[in-house]
Order: sequence, then C-alpha cells, then structure tokens
Amino acid sequence: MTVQRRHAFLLMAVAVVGVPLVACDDGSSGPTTEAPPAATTPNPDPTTGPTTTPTTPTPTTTTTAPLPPRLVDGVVNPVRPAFQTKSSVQVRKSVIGCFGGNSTKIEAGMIVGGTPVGGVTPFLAAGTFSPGQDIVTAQAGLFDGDPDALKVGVRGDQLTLEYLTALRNTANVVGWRCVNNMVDDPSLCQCDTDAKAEAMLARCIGDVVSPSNVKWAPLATDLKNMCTPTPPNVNTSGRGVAVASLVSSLTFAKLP
Amino acid sequence: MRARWLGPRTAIVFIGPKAAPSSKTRRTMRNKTPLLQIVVLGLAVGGAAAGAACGSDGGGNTLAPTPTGTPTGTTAPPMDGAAPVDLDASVDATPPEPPVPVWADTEALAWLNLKCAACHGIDAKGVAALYYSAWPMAAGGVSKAYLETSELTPVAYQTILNRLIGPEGVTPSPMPVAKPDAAARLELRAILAWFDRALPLSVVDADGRYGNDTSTKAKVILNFKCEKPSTLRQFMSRFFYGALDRPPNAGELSKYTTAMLDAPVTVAQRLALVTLIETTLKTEFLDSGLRKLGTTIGGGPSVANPPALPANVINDLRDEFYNLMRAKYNTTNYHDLFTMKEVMVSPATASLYAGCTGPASGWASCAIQAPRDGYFTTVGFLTSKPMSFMQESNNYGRVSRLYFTVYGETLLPATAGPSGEAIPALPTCLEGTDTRTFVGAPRGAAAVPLFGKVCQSCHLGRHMAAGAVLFRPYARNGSIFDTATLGNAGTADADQFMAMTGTPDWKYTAGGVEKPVDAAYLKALLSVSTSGSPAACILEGSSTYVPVKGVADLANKLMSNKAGLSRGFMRHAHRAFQNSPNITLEMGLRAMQVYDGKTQHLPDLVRAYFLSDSLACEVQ
Repeated sequence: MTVQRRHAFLLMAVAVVGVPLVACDDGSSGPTTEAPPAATTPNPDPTTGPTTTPTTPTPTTTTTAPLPPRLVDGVVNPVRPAFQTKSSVQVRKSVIGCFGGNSTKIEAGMIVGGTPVGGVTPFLAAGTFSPGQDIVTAQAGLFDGDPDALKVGVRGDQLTLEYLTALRNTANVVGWRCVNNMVDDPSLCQCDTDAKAEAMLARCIGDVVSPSNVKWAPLATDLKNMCTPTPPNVNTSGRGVAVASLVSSLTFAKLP
Repeated sequence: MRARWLGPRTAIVFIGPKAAPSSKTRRTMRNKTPLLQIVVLGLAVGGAAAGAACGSDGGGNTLAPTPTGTPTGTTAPPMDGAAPVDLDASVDATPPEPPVPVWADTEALAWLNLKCAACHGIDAKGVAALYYSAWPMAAGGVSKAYLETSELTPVAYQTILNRLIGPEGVTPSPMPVAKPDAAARLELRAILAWFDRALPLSVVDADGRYGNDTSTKAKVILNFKCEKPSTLRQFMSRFFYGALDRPPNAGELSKYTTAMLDAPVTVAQRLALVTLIETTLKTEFLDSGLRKLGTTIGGGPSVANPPALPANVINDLRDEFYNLMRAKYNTTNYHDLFTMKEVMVSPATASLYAGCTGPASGWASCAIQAPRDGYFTTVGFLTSKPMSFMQESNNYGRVSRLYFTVYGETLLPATAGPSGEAIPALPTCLEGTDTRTFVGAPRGAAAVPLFGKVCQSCHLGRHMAAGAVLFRPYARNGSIFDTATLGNAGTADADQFMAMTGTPDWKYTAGGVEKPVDAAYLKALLSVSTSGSPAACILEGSSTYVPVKGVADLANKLMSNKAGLSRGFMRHAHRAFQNSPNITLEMGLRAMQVYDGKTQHLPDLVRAYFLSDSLACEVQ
C-alpha cells in the first residue's frame, strides 16, 4: 500500500469506521414529566387581616391549630442535552488515560512537508502546527468554542465541523504514535486479539459502555478486525487505523 | 401596605431537615435573612435509588425524612376549589369572588405564555419583545423547570399578585398595569393559586422579598421522586468528568463488579465516591474541578483586554478568583469570599494593588486597601467587564456581572422600548446629579430611572443606579481614578474622558438647564463616589430604600437572599461541572440546605452539588 493510499485509508476509517462505535449512545431527550399537582390537606378557614369596623377594635386573628403540612410531589427531572462533547481538557485526559503518556505530541513527520515516518503520509497543516506541541491543547479553541461565550453560558454541546476536525487531527496523531511505537507504553496500542481489543475498549470507553451490553462483543470483534485487516496491511498500520477510529468515534468524544 | 394573599390558605414555614431552629435562631433569621425560614423540603427518592436523598452528610440524614403515613399524589387538592381567594378586605371589599379554577401545569403555562410573551417573549428570529430584558421568556415559552429555578420567577409572581391586589405605585409594577376586570381577576387568582401549588419556593421567595403576609400559610413538604435512577457506571462517569475532567480509570472501576456498575447507584456508593474529592483525590480536584468552578464564578474566561495590561497579567487575572477559592477552600464561607478584604496576587499582578508585594512565584495573599473593598473591586473582577463611568454603559454591565456572580443569572440590557408613564421621583438617598444623556438618550445613573417607571424596574429595582455610583472610581483596566488627574494624558481612560467632554452629544441637566458635559462635571461626579459616603441606596422590599456604603455592601445585601445565593452557586457549579445551564429545583434545595448548616465552606457546597439526586437521575 502506498503512503497516500494508506493515509487515505486511515482518514476514511476515521470518518467511517468510527460510526459503529456510536451505537452505544445512551442519550435521550424525550419529553419530561411534570410534577403532579400538589396533594394538599383541607384547611380550616382562618380569618385574618384588618377589619373595616371604624370604632370597635376587633380581634384580627384566631387561634386555630397549626395547619398540617402541605405535601407537594415533585419529580427529580434533570435537563441534559442529548449529546455533549468533551472539552479539550477532557479529550486530552481521556486519550492519555486510554493510550498512556506521550500519545498526543506532534512530531515533524506528521506535518505536511515533513518526512513521512512509518509509511504514514504527513497530515497536519503546515504553519498551523509545530513539532512538540500537544495536538489537543493546540486545538483547544476548536474543541471548546469561543471563550467569550463562557462568560455567562456553557461550552457548546453540538458536534461542529470544527470539533470533528480537531478530533480527526487528534485521532491521527494518536494513531501515528501508536503505529510508530512512540507512546510511553506501546502495549496500550495493542488490539490484535479479542482480549487486547476488549481491554482497549474497557480502558477507553468503559465508562460509557458496559461489557454486559450485547453490543460489547461485536464491538470488540470489529476493533480487532480493524486492527488486523485481511489481507494484512503493511507494517502495523491496521493498529493505527483502529486506534484512530476509536479516538475519533462519537462514543469517545461524547460526555457520558 | 403589605400585600395580603390568602388564596390557597397555606403557608410555607421552616421545617428543617434537622431540628427546627431555636427561637433565638429564628429571630435572627427573621431579622437578617428571612428566606432562611422557608427552606422546606422532605426528599424521598423512589425506585432503586430510594433514600438517595439522605446521604449528603457523612451518612447522616440531612434532609427531612420521608413523610410516613401520608399518601402522596393521591389526595385531591381541595384547597383551590374549596377555599376561595380571600383578599384583604381593606384592599378590596367586594363580595366574595367565585371559586378559583384549579389549573393544571399545561393550562397555567399556556396562560403565562399567552399573556406574557407579547411583552417578554422572543421570536424564532431572535427579535425580542419590548420587555424581554425584564423577564426573558425563551423562544418556545417558559417551562415549569425554568420557572422552578429562575431568580426572576418570584418577580413575575409578584407582578401578577400586585396586579390583583397591589396598591398604586407598588414595585414591581403590576403587569399589565390596567386594572383587571372580573374575568381577568379570576384568571389572576387561578394563576396565583397555581404558583403557590406548583412553584412553592418561588412564592416563598417572593413573600420574603416583598414582605407579603405569610401568617396564615402552612408548611410545605416537597417530596421528590427519581423515576429513572442512574447506574453506578453512569454516575461514576458523570462525577469523574465533572470533578476531575477525566473518566474513571480501570483501577477505580475495578472496585466494583460489572453487575454493580450496571445496577442503580446506591446512596453509599455515591457518598463513597464524592468523599474521594475530599481525601485521596482532593489535590486533583483542586487542580481541575475547582479551577473550572473558580473561572466560571469569577468570569475568568471573559477577562478581556483592557488598555495597558500585558498578556501575562491578563492570564493571571483570569485565575485570580480561582486561587482565592483554593486558598480558602476549607476555611471560609462561600459568601465571605466576595467581601473579604483579601486578594490573591501573582508576581505579575501584585503591582496592580497598592501595598502588595508579590511572591517570587505562585500566588500569595494580600490585603486590599480602600477604596477597594472585596472581590467585586478586584482587578480580576473589574477587567472581566472592562468599562468605566465615562462611557454609555456607565458601569451597568459591572452591576449586572455582580448580579450574575451572586445569583448565577444574567440581567439583560435594554436600551430601547417604552419607558412607562407616571415617573415616580427618585429616592432622596440616591445621588441625583448624574443626569447625563447621549444624543438625548438617558445614560446617567439618575437620568435613566428618571426617564420612566419601566426603566426604574432595573435601575432602581435591580440596583443599576446605586451600582453605577459605587463602581464609578474604577477604570476599565481595574485601576482607581484620581479626581485630580482624571483625564490627564497618560492616565486611565483618558481617551474616554476626551471623547465625553469633546462633543456636544453628551449633556447633563442642572437646575433645569442643559449643559455639555465638561471636565469639572465629571470630576464632581467622581469625587462623590470617592468621598467615602457615596449617595447610593437600594430598594429593599417593595418600597423601602436602604443605604449602601460600597460595592461590598451592595454585594452583602444581595447575598442576604440566601436562597438566591445558594441557587446561584448551584447554577455556577452545574455550568462548571456538567456544562449545563439548567439546574433542577431539587438541586436548588440542596444548596439552600447548606445554608441551614453551621458552615458554608466550599466543600459543603461542592458536596451538596455532587450528592444532589439530580446527578444520580437520568432524563426521562
């Protein structure tokens, strides 16, 4: 496979293969249930307030017994958006929690114009990125949106083109580093057996998907197959595709 | 006279989760913070999370126990149909009115959206109605969830109540102002009864703010149910991302079996997890979660680029309040953070404060000196809304930001629209000399409220005028103006000074004569505010004005509404930890409950937030 073809495959996988991983989205935004009307107790008829009798003072209060409490039923009814993206900080910590240290650093070989490493075509725009940067931090603005909007509001919770772009770049950086064994613990990039693929899923999206979910096993199989394509890819690019796909999946990007 | 609303013949009194306060405490609370009397809750979470409401205090039940022996949701509400509204005879001596219709939520919301949206709504294109800023109704109309937790709902309630029974000139102004006919009265009584039934806390709030008579009301117990409890896995994810910006790691998940992770989260599990940020994960929380909270409350992201401040200073100013929160995390009550005479400084920011020597690195505490008097006069806060009295907005944005910081809700500007007729005079305790206009439009602290009664709803009712007087000494970059050198070349905001004094567009009125704004006039305005006894006062209740000595005093008076303050914390926390703007009533009550306790340190409030049932409950 040529460098270009492999690169194209990597990106295609990022864009397309990530989709099945979304299947476990458990968000829902159905209509909410309003609290039922209050259950109340009958009350006596206390007479209070000033009278209008001009000459004779009139008692204005009675000595009725305290009213029994009024019970108001309510439903704990949280309002959450159906989909929320992780912030840049959360994306970075999630990636590092999944693939370990040194998994988000930009290398010269990733930047267009640089010398390809490991057979992967450079994919980051020259002039925008530079070696040594952290890919997530460098794109914090794309992940988080306009900081001005945070004055009195919240971070955007819609998947924007900017967010997807930033996520794709991040996924490719992580995939690149896994392909080239340039993370602190290369074993965290392993996914070529069922057990390793499951371990990767548990580590990366175990906070949102349960192994008891019926989709768990097929998901692991998909990931393993992606990691070990048939026929096999040159070198270890299958691993890069699998890793990049996982990182760019909506399940990974979504806040639980 | 005080409004008297006897409609539902119920009242809301304190029934604390713990023992009721002593008589001495009650007296104190009545005198200082009337709203503390109204915390009324008894939470019970149904389903698998039953009892989840009881775990916020080291395993102790800090909320009212679930009422026993009382059927919930099964008793017909007889009060509204059987007990007609009994208005104060001195207000309305007409014969008894017909029974109040019992409106369901849908009817009531439809009525509000129909009657109010014409003035307070906004259309799909974002075109706001004339009084949108006073009560911003969402494009789709208000919902019960919004009303339950909005700081503006008590005001809306009071405008309706005042329309029914309020005397002339009462604040907030009845809406609409026309006297209601019989049919309208019946609708008003129905909607008021619905407020009392469906939004009891807002009614309590309004009663406290406006001095409504509550002597005949019964206590309310709020009985919450969670119909779809979160699993432990869901709760862990929500908690870890919120508090630590990361997912739970394999080791943290492995403490539970898959079956446990997929089962509804228990109270004990929630408590154990939340306790982690006070023990083994405390440092991580202080580094990440508290930073989010601090910048959210302190407006850090919005510290702009005021003149003459370099980038490294601005960066540190964004973290100024966060570092104060961090330094005082375990030792200071939340509300005291805003009024204490202390600021955290870095090597880059120390020189902004008189008498402060910066640390060699990191952050250090420094005593701030007059006229600065608390967080709202720190450079960090002031530069989060860089403006001065020498521009059209006249520091109103800073007052709005103060309001936002305390209550977590934004006041919207309104520079157009009807001003209202029958302009009441300004209170004599409020400075009346800032009559500036710009091309004829009122801009000064006195000019705006003198323009119309509607303008007074914010500029007097929400303290814009007083705040403009109190914030006057501070420049866009947070420095302090000197009357002697105001406008001199090289001094702060000299460009604004030149712009305001160099054009006939800016005028003021004195003795009935209109004159162009000049240097002497601006210096005179400034000298009033730096005199140590600025002529500023705010409306307390419906008609009483009380003096405010400074920005911290203004903040203190706002914060005396503990219900609003604690709900405000929850709003900030929810924005920071869950990136979500809408809290639930249950969350608001959780925070209010903290104000029934001995301390209101940040850990108390943070714990209340993460232990709220709403975080352990899924959307239906």
